[in-house]
Amino acid sequence: MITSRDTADVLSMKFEAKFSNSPTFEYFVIMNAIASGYTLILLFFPAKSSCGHFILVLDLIIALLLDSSISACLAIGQVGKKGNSHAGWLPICGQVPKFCDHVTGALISGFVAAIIYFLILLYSLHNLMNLFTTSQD
Amino acid sequence: MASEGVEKLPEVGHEQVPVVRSKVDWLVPVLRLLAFFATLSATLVMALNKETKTIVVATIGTVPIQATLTAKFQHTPAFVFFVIVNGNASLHNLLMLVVNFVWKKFDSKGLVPLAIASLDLMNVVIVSGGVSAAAFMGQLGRDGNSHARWNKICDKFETYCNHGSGAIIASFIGLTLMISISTISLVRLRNTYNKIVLNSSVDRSQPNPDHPTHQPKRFPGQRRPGEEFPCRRRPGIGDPRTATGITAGVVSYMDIDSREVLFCYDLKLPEGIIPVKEDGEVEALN
Repeated sequence: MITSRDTADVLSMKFEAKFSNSPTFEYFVIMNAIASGYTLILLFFPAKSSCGHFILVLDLIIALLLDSSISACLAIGQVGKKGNSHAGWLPICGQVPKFCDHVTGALISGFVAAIIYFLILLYSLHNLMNLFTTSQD
Repeated sequence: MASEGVEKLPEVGHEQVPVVRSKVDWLVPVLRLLAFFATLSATLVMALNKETKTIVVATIGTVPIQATLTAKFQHTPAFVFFVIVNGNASLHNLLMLVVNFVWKKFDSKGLVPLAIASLDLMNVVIVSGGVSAAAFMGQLGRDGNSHARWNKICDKFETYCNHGSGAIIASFIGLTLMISISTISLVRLRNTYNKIVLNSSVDRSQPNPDHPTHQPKRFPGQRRPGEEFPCRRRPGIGDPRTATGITAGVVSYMDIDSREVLFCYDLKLPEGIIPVKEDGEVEALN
């Protein structure tokens, strides 16, 4: 996402599309950076340390933020691709195709990251609560 | 370990047990009610969000040509998603509220709190997606995007924008409430699954002076530790008069909203009698 960039000449006007043009994409970049840094730090933690519940809550928050960032980007990307005739917003993918493709690739990996993080959340829940043993009363 | 006989406390004994449940029993249902109202109001406000405006497009001579523009929530897929997700979340909250009061009748061994917690987690994540999509769309509508030549629409459709932002704020409040509900349910789930269990390697031949059964406060019906007493008839043991029970200890654990105390006893059977598994209460006798 950070390296997505394209320029187009429309009616002798230079038109540059960067990720920082949209606050949504900036939010996406920041959230994914935080999530990857957090996962990297957590790689060096043992599985069932004493602060396991704190890590579960943090996992929930990060999964939440990842999911919200990808959802917002999908909404904005949909407007960029199809436009919104009711609001008079023209689609921009025709003018900056490279930018569009780059952003699409970033969004796909972001979506996969959100799904995998949700699975990580379920896994850490299972680790803490030991879900698969039935209570034997 | 020999089969343990469990003696239920008579009702009088319960008054001496400190009950922990009353402090937090009402917290989660109240939070759920508030979250239900928040998500319901967000759904309704956004679903009924509509504004029509007639603006003069051009004038031909002295006749103004008017165009009627409508702003509906269905124009934007992000808002449609927002409505769907918030409707789903309010239904979920309502259902969980009902289950909260009806659940005690169906005792399903702790599966219900687990299902509630995981459903809560999923709904929290989904609602956060819907809220942020709608929030960013609203920001786009309010400020426009000069780089993409997208004009802002909030100056023309003020009521639509205000209603939309009200719905988004309500949904944010609902999301915060649902996060706190989820965290509280997770903490309660931990307490349920970490029951206090007796250490099975304890030497039972001598009474353990550090054991809690040596506390001076005693419940009616509780025996002294190490005391031997004749057993009532238990299936699979044969003639009950020949078996004696020895108090072994106490198990005390807290359920979601109740606390139970079990008194454990060892059965001392005379030589030659081998216990037989007769009823369904005992799984195996080693």
